[in-house]
Amino acid sequence: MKVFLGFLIFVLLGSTVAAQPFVRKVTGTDGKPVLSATVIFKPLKAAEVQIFAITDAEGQFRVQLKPMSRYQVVVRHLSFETDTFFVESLPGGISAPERIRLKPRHQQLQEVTVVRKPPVVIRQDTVTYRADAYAGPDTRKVEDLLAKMQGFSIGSDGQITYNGQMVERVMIEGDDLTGRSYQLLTRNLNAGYIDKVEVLLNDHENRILKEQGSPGKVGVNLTVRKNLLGKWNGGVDLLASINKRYEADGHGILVKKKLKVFSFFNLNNIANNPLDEAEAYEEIENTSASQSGVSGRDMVLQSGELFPPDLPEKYVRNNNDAGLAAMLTWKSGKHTSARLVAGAQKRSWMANLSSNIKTFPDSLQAWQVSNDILQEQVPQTAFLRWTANTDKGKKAVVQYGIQMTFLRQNNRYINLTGIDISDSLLEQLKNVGLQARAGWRATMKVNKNVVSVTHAELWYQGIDQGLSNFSSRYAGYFNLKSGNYLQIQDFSVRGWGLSLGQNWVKKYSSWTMKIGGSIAYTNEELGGRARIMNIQADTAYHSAQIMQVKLADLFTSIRLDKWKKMSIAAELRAGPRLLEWKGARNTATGGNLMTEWVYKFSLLQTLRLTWQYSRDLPERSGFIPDPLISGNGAILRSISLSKPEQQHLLQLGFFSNLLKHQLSWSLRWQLRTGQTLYIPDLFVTPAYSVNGWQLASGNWSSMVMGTVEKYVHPIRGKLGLSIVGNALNGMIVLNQEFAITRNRSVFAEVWWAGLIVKKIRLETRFKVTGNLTQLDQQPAQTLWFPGWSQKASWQWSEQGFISCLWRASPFGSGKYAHGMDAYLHQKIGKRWTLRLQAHNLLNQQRLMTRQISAYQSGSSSYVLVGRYVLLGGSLQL
Amino acid sequence: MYHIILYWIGLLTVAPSQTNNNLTVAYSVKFNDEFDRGRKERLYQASLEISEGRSKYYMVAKESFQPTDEHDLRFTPDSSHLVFTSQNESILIAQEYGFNGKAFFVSDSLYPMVWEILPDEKKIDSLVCLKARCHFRGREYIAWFVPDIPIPYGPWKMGGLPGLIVDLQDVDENLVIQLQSIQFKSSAFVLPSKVKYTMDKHIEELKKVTQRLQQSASVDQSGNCLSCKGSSKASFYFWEKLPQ
Repeated sequence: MKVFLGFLIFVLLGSTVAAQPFVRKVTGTDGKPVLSATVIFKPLKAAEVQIFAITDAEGQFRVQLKPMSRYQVVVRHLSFETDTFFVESLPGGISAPERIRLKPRHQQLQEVTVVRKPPVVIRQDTVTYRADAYAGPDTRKVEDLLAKMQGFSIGSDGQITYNGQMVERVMIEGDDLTGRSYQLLTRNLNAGYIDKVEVLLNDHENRILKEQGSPGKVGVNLTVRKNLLGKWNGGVDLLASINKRYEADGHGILVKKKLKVFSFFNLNNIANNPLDEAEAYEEIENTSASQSGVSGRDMVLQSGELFPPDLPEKYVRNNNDAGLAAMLTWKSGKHTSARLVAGAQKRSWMANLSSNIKTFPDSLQAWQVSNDILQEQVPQTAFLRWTANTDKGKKAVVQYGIQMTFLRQNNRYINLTGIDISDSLLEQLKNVGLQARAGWRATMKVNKNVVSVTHAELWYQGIDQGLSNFSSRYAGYFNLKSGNYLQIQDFSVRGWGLSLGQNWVKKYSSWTMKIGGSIAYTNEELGGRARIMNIQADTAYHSAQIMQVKLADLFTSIRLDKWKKMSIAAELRAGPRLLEWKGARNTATGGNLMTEWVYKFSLLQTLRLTWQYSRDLPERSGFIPDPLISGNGAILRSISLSKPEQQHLLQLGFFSNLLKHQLSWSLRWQLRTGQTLYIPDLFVTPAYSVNGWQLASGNWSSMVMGTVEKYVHPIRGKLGLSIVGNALNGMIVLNQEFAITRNRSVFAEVWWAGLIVKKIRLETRFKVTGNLTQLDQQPAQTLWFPGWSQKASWQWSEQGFISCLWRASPFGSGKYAHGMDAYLHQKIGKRWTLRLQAHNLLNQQRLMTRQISAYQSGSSSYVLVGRYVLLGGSLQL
Repeated sequence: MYHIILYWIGLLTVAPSQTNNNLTVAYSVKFNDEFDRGRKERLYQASLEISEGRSKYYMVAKESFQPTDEHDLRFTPDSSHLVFTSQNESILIAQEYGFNGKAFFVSDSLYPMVWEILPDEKKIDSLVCLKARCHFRGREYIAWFVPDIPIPYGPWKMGGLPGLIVDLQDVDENLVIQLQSIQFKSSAFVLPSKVKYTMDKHIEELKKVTQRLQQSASVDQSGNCLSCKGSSKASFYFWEKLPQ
């Protein structure tokens, strides 16, 4: 209590430190005052805001500077050369030049022509994003680029959705090289390689069906920068770290008119799967519970972690993958072409030969052979497909073909899809069409029974150009399927489904609504013949222009005699003034399902509320069959449940900015139950800041910690005690931090000293952490972790600095790690940034990473990234 | 609309020691005539002329005003928003129109809005722009300005930023102003002299007039009211909202 009272008094005293007025006069070299010169104060600390002033008729300007702040000041005027200097606001006064004299400008500005291009163009069913408008230093790969574009959402597994709809394929210059494994493309390809991203809202693999107006799926086409066409582009990464962890990945791509080649490789033993499949994760039990004071279940080897905890070798996974895809196009005349696409990965391969002979009757024929585990959601599958389409005038298209699927697993069977007929009867009357499709599909299982699937679809699509400013589209879906959808491990589902939907599209927004249901019967696997009823309804509103997304989804699956499951999800986002709400609920009862509630609420960036409740029931591998009512077939949802565990997590945060006072607090309450641990944690993190001072209290790993923070230039001091001195334009800061944990743990940062002279900064930090921990089933232990570091840095401008850090700390029981970091940052001109980073750690085995990385980034035409690892020896371009 | 040609300003030609500070800045303007009520947008062509520390801003509608109904009246002509500034004298003079349709000048404060510079940065073609935000006369505005063009001017009454305002819009997108071009020329213009009628007085007058008209409209059942939504109620919508 006394400690917090002392903190409060300290903050209140700090809040009385007033801003310092700064007045200067701007003149020319002849001493005459300069009117209307702009003066911008850029704070060297990113968290602070820029301030500015305009000179008056006397050439004077006046601003209020925050105490203990440092600014780069830029004085500009059309008739004078730009002047730049630094200003430092110190307790003893302001350090700044007394006179500001501008030299006459001797350069005449000349006219150039600039074209303002819109970042997004919407034409009919294609939305085109200009990559330049979204590229930045943090967009290294295509996936980073897509994540910045409105409407795109990237899952942790790399799956891309656009306005809630799954993206089915990602093409490069109109050609699909990777199929559904498009993460290989989006996660490897350099963002700077891309010129435009086209979202095809009505994407068809079959050109003839598209011409007939058949509703398609969502696809993405990447167009390459013109100056990079026909040139190889790619990169290589080689990394290594402690415990003999390594990762090497690289890719190369060549795009020409008739030839496209994409290759990649990824070799690693850090469980980094290029496709991010769930199997890449490994859970470690109680590895360091005694040290961390928390459950060992937290020690999960994350996918792609180059510096994992010191784990036994048995937990290390090798996830090596490599692939090559190439496409060759042969074209003869205007109407005849042939195309060969071939690809191979470590576990799958695919070959696709298609020909397009545009004669009478117009036809498109395709032969495809592949072994793509992601294509069919079934491992070890190969299939041979031949399809052909005939366009009978403009009123009908006939599709016929045959597909044979070979499944190599315990159940060997051949899936024969015979004569898949799509007969479209189109009445094209002023862009309004009615189309019906019917077909049948037969699957023959070799060693058991023969099943069949019959499906019929009827859908309507109308295009109403309407008023001149709007175009709208209406589509309704009717989908009726019956038959056995799923044959896995003697488990099958047979059912019927019906769905209806409507889709309205305007220039910048769309609204969709679907409702459907299905009923299915299972066989004996789940304890008797079960009747499953699914009800699904969803509605969504999207507005790309103002970034509003509203999504509601209801899915109910009921097994009438045993279990029921319901999920409902809704999401509302509005921007740029943030108003966000997310809600999801999945419920299930009956023994092998999971319950989870998640609510997130955010209002105008001032209030955030999150509540999550999840409950896992005893471990049992199972799967929930969902005979889908839309799409082309069933999806097998496989759920592997872990040990029983309940978890509540409630977090409430409030953030307010009242004049210069910032108030934030958050409350977090967590309850977890497991087989051996019962750890209720209370997180209370109120914080109040004013004039650079911040009073905060936090919880860290089941410890409660209080801090008073003050932004003391140039070192951010966290403290109960702070001494600031000023000697020769430098300063010394001493800090103490002390916390007592609820579990009798002690966390103390004894002192932290910094010295700055001119632009050179020296810091020394010494920290001791004592942890007296007693868990429910662990004996009490006292562990002391001393650590110290020394840092020297030199900043010669706002955009350039170099720093060197040496540190030593216990890496584990009985091990010490010594580290050395060197970092150079220099922004060159307006477009280029150069960074050099060296990193070296040594432990007792003298085996750690030595890494140097450097990159240049520019928004003009390409991004160049280089990374060099001394241990492995690599270079990425 | 989207392909806007902007003339500006590169480098490196040796010239006399003093550069030309006379500029003409062209903007395209989209204004919602039905602001605060609905949407009916019109396009304008605007011009900001800068010469010898003074500026003149005006805009001309590309489309004529179409009233929503017989009661929808407009008191400003299609060529309006005439605004003069003088940096030397720190004054701003704007042309206003009375309910009788006659124009007069009002002396207003020069850039009274308090800008907050935000960390956002974007490029409008080759121009690096910074984002700023302010509240002015009841509305919130977002401006993008170019620090490399160090003149504190902007369209309409907006300005006072350390760089030319190239894009301006209110958060409801009733007013969207985008830069079209900048040229090194400006025709001579003279500021209206001896304008003693201030904005504060004008606001007080507007309050009195609107109150009187509302009382009058409330008893007038003939529908002969101004921008009225009902036969017994008159509603007045001002772009610069009257303080309560």
